[in-house]
Amino acid sequence: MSGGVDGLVDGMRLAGAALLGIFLMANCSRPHSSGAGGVELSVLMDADVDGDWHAFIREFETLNPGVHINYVEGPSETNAREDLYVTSLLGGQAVYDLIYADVVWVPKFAAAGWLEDVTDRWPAEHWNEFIPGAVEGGTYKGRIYRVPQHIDVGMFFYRRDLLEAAHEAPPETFDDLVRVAQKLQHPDQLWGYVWQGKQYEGLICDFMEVLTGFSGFWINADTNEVGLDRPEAVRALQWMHDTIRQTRISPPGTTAYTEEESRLIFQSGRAIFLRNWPYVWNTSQQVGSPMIGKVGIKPMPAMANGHPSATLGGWGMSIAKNSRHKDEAWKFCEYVSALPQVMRVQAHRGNPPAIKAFYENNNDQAWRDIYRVMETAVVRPRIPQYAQASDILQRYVSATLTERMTPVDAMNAAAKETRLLLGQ
Amino acid sequence: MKTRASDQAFGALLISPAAAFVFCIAIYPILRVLWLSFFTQNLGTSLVPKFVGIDNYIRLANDGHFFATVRTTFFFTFVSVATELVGGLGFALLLNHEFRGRVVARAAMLVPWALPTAVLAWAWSWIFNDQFGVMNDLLRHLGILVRPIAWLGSGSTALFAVIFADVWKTAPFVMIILLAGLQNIPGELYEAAAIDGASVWKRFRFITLPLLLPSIMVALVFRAIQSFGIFDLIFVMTGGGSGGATETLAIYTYNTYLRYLDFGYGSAMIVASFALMLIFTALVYWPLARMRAQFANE
Amino acid sequence: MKRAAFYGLIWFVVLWCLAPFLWQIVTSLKSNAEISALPVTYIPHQPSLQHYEALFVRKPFARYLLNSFMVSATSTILCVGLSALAAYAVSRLRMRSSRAMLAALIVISLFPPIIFFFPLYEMMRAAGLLNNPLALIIPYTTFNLPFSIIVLATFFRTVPSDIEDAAKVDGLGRLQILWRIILPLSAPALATTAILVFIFAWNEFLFALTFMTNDRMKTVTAGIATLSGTTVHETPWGPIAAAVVVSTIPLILIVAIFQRRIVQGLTAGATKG
Repeated sequence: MSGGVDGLVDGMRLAGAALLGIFLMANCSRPHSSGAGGVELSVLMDADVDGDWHAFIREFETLNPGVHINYVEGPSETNAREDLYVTSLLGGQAVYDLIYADVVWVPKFAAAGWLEDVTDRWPAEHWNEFIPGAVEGGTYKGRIYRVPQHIDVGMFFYRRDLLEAAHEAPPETFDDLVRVAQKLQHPDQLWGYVWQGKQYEGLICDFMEVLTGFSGFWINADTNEVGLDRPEAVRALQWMHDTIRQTRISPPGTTAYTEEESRLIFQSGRAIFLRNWPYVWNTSQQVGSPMIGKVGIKPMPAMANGHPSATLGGWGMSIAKNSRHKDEAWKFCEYVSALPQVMRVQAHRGNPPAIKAFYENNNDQAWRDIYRVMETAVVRPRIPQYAQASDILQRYVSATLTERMTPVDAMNAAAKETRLLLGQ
Repeated sequence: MKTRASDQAFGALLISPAAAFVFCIAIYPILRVLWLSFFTQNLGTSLVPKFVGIDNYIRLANDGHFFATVRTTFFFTFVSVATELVGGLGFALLLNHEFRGRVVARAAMLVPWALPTAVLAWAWSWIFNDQFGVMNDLLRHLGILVRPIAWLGSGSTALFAVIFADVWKTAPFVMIILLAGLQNIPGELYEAAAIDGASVWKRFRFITLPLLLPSIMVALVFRAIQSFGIFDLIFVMTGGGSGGATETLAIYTYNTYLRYLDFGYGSAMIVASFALMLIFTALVYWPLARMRAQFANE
Repeated sequence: MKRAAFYGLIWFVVLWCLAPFLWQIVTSLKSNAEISALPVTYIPHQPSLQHYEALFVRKPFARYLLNSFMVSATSTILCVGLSALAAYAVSRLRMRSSRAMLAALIVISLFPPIIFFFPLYEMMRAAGLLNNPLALIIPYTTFNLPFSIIVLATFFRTVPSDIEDAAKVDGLGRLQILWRIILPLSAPALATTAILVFIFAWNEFLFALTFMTNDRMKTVTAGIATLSGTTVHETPWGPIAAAVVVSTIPLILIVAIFQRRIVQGLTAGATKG
């Protein structure tokens, strides 16, 4: 019995060997450009939930016969997709021709030499049709590497109805925010202020707004100077910490919240103030939402002598420098960043278009308010080592919020590690 | 008449393909990592290697996160390996009897070891899901839990979940090793002891344990080394979260290489981790070696 | 009473070992609505194969499986082949210091793959082998060589030398002896080694994740990680469960059929150490 099975295994293995040898030779890293004289471009994005992108691809392929776009579906976490892009690009093969890039990816990818410089593909006037911050988000050392599709800015949402009933104006300063929140909240049923306090990139977005509001800075991208251990930065972190632990206007669970958790709390009527992205405007005003007509939007508050600021985010399309079909890829970039296409995405997902024309003379007051917020946009440091610097800061901010370190210790340690990172 | 020299030459020929593979794929990378650790090669240097001597090690010594991951890795390895050992020994003692269905039971116990860790990690993430996970559901039914635990959302519970998943996979492996060791113990020894009236504990302490010690040591060293480099499970289950609580050395190193593109620094990290791994394994091995010598004298 | 407790314990342990896998089967058959419903249901109300369909339609999962199979099978054949040659040399041709060398190699093969990962990545990139199955086959083969060599060498030593001597008298060359006599006699050991290498290769993750970046070239372990959800923020637990089941069924079958060999293989390596 045992001998029979072994003989079978042996025989199977030999047969398999022959088959596999053939298979291997036939299949070895077949380049993914289709042999029939057509051009195939690949791009990695998250799930195309509303079908907009597949529609764009179909339309584009009809307008450009011979070009086929391969939409590779990837995970929804931004970091996971970034890792997939980085390993592909580092490998040097043009696995992806188009790169759907977040603002924070551009310095790293451009510094590594993976992105095609597209500055001269359009005249300056054309670039000016986009919101400056959106273009800047795709820029590195003065050259443009990304065509913006939509732009995100951190915004302050407030319950217009509750403030009017209490005869309060929407807060302009942090002190006002705390005062009004403490006055109107009933913790657990109605919280004062919800934001994102989990240890991830979103935490940095929230922190930057508070930091700039206190007139502090993180890293000066031109001089590599680090401002984390300055008094302003420590005060900013202290303020964030206090919202949970001292002034108690934010729920204790804040240290686990990302965009969705905080949005759901606000949208179900359990918070007075919310810091989040513009898409919340869409979701909160959709049919069936209890918040219709009750929400106001404005820039984030700041210190009395500080600057209200909104962390800049947003996505756009870049071209891989190694791509063999850069011109066709550029045509696709042009197509998806055009206003009609961008508006279709906005209608489904609520992401603000990056084109000025959408806002100027827009009948909807909300969009004009959002545009006003965009004027306070601040960028996260445009350094190639951004991912590392962000991870360092995330750990220390999170350690403070979870009471494992004091703000002073945290900021000192963060500054020291960041300086070592930048080679100082 | 074929000479020994000709035999040796032929032997060398037969070995050479395997030796070539091992040299290129295993030996050379170790040397390369050591070499690279003395250079800075990251985006700050435009991905060009720059000799910096021991600067990377100095930076490592000031890296708070590195020490945090070392602590996490030591803790993970220690708790995990200790639990596997106890669990594996228990399984082995259990299975060391003849009973119907023993073959099926043994096959079932091989399943955890045989399945891909990176794939099962998804299964575990689902089990530990805070809202729909089976773990919370079972604990609720047993009356132990009132409110659901966000296992993967909080530092200490995430570490527990990861260790749990790891022990699930590796305890059966330890069992297999120990079971083989148990089956090598001559039954007559137990019979003689039973005749002498020795208790279960005495039989375990003076027969089983000393004779099983070599197998235990092998399993321990294997598992300690592997556990130190744990990657698949944690990468998929938590990615090193929550808040870096489950970030082990391997994950931090991977991120340093592929997320930060900091190749020289990552290499220094590997060298340091490797040294720590050796120290840890030695710490684990020494007491057992002494115990073994002690038993030999009994 | 004691017997009942004993069997109860056995059942518990068996269930414990299979539980995560079984739960994934259950989850994969539930509808999305039932997956995100409370309280948790342990038997699907309306079992359906929709997730399996979605798995193969939206992602090239069949391709992932094929890649895994191809890489694993080729690594197995290559490793067993090379180690048979080396084991023969070690066991028969009286080489000096082979024990120490092999012990060192076994220890090296135990090192966590993160140690080798970056230089190997550099090498594969320089050789243009990224996204080529060989980028995985070569390392998988290498890391299993030490172990395979020891298992096979141990076994070869048990083949009585008179058979070989008789063959030599008959005029057979050494390689012919190996191919025609030793290997067929060693079929059990070869099978054992082959199974262990196959399982290792199928399960490997770190290299598979990094060396194969083209979606169509990925193996299942890396491919699962690229599954996305139906909305932007959720994890697709249904299709993932289907993916887990599909990726692991081949291994379950292997374990069920070859469990005796597997145990022999694992313990041979351990007791030798």
